[in-house]
Amino acid sequence: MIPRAPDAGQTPARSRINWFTVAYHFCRILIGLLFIVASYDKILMPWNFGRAIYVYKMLPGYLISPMAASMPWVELVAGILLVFNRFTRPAAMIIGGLNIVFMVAIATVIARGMDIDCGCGLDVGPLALIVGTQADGWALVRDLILLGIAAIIYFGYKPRRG
Amino acid sequence: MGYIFSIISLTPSIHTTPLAGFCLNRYGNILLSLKMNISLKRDILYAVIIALIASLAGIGTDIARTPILAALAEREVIHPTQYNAYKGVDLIDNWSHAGWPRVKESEDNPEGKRIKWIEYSQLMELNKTGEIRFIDARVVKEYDAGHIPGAIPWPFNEFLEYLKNYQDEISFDTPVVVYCEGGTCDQSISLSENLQIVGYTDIYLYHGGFDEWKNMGMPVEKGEYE
Repeated sequence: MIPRAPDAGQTPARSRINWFTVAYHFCRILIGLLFIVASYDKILMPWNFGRAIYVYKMLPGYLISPMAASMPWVELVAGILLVFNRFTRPAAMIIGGLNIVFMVAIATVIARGMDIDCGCGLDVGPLALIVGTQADGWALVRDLILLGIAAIIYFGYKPRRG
Repeated sequence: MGYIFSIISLTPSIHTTPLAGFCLNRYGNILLSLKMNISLKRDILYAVIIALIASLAGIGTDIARTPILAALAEREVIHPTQYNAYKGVDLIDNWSHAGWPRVKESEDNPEGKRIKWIEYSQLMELNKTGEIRFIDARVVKEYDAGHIPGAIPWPFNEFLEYLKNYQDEISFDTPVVVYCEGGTCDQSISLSENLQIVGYTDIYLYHGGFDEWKNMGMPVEKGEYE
C-alpha cells in the first residue's frame, strides 16, 4: 500500500520487536483509559465538575455550565477513540489541547497563590492517593507528562496496513 | 499517509544518498509524521469536528437529563428516589440553563425554599444578624479537630440519627449555614439537600468551607460538641 523507497529491502528491522511501536500502543491505551476514567464522574455529576471549574475563578458564570457539561464528553470521546485506535491523531490532538488548557488554568492558580482542588476527575479510589487531588505543581507536572504522551501518540502514529 | 510518502519519494534528493534512504526506512514513520504539513490541517479539522460533536452531545444530555428522568419516574420506569437524586440538583439552582452557581436573590426566591450559595463576604453580612446557626457537615472526627465557633456537628452520612437530636433544638425556619472542608467537598451539598427535604426553609451553603474560614484568619474552635 505504501510505496517503498528504492533501497528499502536492505534493512532487516521489520522482523524484530519494534519497542517504539510497543511503547506507542501502551501509551495510547493507557492515556485513553485514563481519560475515560476521568470523564466518568464528571459526566454523571456535571454540577460537581461545574463547581470545580467555578473555584478556579477564570470563567464567567454563564460559561461554567456549558463547559462542565461538554468537556467531560470531549474527554470521553477522545479517550474511546484512542483506545480503539480510530481517528488517533485528532484524538491525541484533543487530549493535548485539553492538557494545555488544564496547565494554563493550574499555572494561573499557582501564580495567584490559591489552594484549590484540581477537579481533574482522578479523585476516585486509589488513584487519588497516587496522583493527588490539589491544583498544585505536581498536577502541572502530571499534565506535562500527559502532554508529552499525547505528543508521542500524535507524532508516532502508525497507520494500519492493509 | 501513503500519499505523503509518495510525495516525499518523488523528491529525488532523498534517494541520492544511501543514508537518507536508510533513515527513511528505519525511522520512516517518525520522519513522515514530522513532514505532514498536508495532513495537519486535516487533523485539526477532524479534532474540531470530534470535539464539537462531543460537546453538543454533552450539552444535549445535560439539558435532556432532568425532563427525561422526570418522565421515567412518572411512568415508574425508575424509582422516584432515583429521580429525586437528580432533582436535588435542580433545587440548588437551575444550573443548566441559568448559569452556575449563583446566589438566589430574595425577589428571585420569594418562599426561601432554595438552597442559597454564599461567599465569604455574604457570610460575614449574614453573621452580623446573629441569628444563623452553623452546621458542620463533615464527620465527627474532623469536627472535633476544628470547626467554626458555635457550629453543630451534623455528619452528612448520619443525617437521620442526628435529625432526632436536633429537630427540637433548631426550628425549621432557623437560618442555617452548612459547610464542609471547602473546595469541592460534597458533604455540605448532600446535607443541605436532606435538610431541605425534611423541611428546613432558610438554608445557606457556604462553599468556601472551613478551609476558607481558616485562611481568612477567623477563630477556630476545637473539641466535641456538648
